[in-house]
Amino acid sequence: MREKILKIIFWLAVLYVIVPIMMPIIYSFSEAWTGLIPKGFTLDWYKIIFSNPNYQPSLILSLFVASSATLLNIVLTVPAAYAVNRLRGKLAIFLEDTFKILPLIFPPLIVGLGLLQAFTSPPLAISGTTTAVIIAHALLGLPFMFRNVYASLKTIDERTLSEAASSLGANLWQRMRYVIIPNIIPGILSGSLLVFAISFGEFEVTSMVAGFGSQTLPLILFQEMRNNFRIASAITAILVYVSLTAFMIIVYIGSKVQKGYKV
Amino acid sequence: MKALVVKDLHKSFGNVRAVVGFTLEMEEGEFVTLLGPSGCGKTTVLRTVAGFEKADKGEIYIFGKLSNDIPPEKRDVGMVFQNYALFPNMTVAQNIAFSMMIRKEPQDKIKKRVGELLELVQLSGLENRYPHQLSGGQMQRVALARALAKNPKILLLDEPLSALDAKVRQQLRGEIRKLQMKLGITTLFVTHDQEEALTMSDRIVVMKDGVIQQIGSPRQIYDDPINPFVAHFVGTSSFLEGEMLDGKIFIWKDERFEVRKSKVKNGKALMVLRPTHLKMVKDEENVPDGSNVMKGRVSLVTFLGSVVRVHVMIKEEEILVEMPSEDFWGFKEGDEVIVYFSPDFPLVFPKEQNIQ
Ligand SMILES: Nc1ncnc2c1ncn2[C@@H]1O[C@H](COP(=O)(O)OP(=O)(O)O)[C@@H](O)[C@H]1O
Ligand SMILES: [Mg+2]
Repeated sequence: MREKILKIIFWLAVLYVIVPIMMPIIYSFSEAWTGLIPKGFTLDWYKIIFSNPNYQPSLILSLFVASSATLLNIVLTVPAAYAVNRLRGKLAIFLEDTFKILPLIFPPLIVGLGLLQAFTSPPLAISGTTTAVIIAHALLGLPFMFRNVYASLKTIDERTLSEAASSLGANLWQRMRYVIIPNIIPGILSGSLLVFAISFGEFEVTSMVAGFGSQTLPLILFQEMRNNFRIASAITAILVYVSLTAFMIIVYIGSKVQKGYKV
Repeated sequence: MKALVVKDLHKSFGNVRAVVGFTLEMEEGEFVTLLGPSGCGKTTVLRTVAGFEKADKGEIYIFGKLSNDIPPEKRDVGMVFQNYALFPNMTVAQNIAFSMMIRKEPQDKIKKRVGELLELVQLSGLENRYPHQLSGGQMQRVALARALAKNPKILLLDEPLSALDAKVRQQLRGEIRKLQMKLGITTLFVTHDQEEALTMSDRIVVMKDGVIQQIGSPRQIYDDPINPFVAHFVGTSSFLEGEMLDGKIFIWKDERFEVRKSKVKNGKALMVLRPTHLKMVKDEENVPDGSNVMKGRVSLVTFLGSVVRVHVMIKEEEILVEMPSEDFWGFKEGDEVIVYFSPDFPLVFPKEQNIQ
């Protein structure tokens, strides 16, 4: 009996997650949807999106921004998590908390305003550029990358594994290449996925720091919602497809990197 | 040439003095154990020899070579960790072959050596398992094979058995020692388990608060502890607080015992009695002449397998007596007994030396 209830709750939860994602996808393929069941199958909405010069560049821009924000986090946040894990004492705890919590307690609106201010004053007058959007997105994704990488460093007891590897003759580069990175790659990848997804769907902060030349897909989507709901649905569907593809690529990379070496 | 020389090693962490003036010389092929309670600095010594910690002061020579500034990856030592530290992403074979892969040795040579090592640690057939598919004992065998794979000049083991079940621990204890003797590899072993130290080592270094208390063979450490701390930590003992007279007579409550090995001439003193040094009888006429004699009452009898341990209350103190099981003939709780010992056995230390 209890098991049955748990099962029902589980499937309700699955529906709760799946339905909002599926609705626009189904909608985007249908000619009309007035009753309970959508009618007709069409690719017209996608054709419109891919032929309209307004949408295509923004899709490419969104992909570029999300990839860059992810890459930026891999290059900067992974070493930062590694370094913090290496520290001992009060400083370590302070830095850990800073990286993990600070960016979360400020809502996007505040972060956006802060960045807007930073980006308009002389040393960093990049407001409205794609670079500004990338930096903003990287910042929004940072705590997620940090959390994931830091947690995997802790679970594998990176310090001891590194010591074991160095007592077996491995230098810093070899320890990273064969021991540390393969063992924290799940953390790096799940972090990357989150950063990518956050960036790809980000609206609030983007709407503040983006200019005419840096209109990402969500910004276009927002405009389209008022004009043509069907096209908006197709855009949403595209957001879902890209995120799913990114997810699969990341799982694939993970399975490749994690393997040991050949004996 | 000495295999390992540690000379006047000092190491502090903040204001914790982890190791103070540690000096040790090891012969080639020797098995030396660092023994002491948790926090006494054993691991710190080992990690300094391995190169993971930098000495504040003092020198480390590995086969005559001053090694203080040589990084761990360039030192000729193999290390086995308490928590195994196997690489989770690699199979047993990949773990063992790691040092050879780093040295870019040819594939066929690596394969052959891995096979030999697996046989040596009795794990043949498990080469394609991952660490999470192994038991604790198996994991530690892999760790041992991995450390031996690079043919280190010195093997360092930091409490390698303490995470294992009693049964596996006992078995692996014997195996490690046999393996060590077969390979003739100089080994520095760390444990807080006195039984492990006594059964495995050529020599034992007993430590307390970062300071060496005594270095000696297991027999020396057990029979001739240098102070009450060593006597207390290694083996079981009863301690009697009393007073020495003329370096010959130990006065305890209203008893007078003749003793031959006293480090005190006159004044407050502490007598150490090993349970095996004491004998127990029912009637006084069975006591050999010249023995020190006490009367008491049996409070507990515990059967330990090959020996029986009897707790005897004598003048409100509990004293332990042990005898081989076959010599034990039915003392029961409540029995009035006579406990005696030869003047040759007990050690007497100055009172100010504490057992803690
Ligand atoms: N990295 C470290 N930082 C601070 N204190 C340490 C560190 N390593 C060891 N200590 C301290 O040094 C002392 C000796 O530690 P250790 O060598 O690990 O002892 P053992 O191995 O005998 O248990 C302990 O008091 C311990 O808390
Ligand atoms: Mg220790």
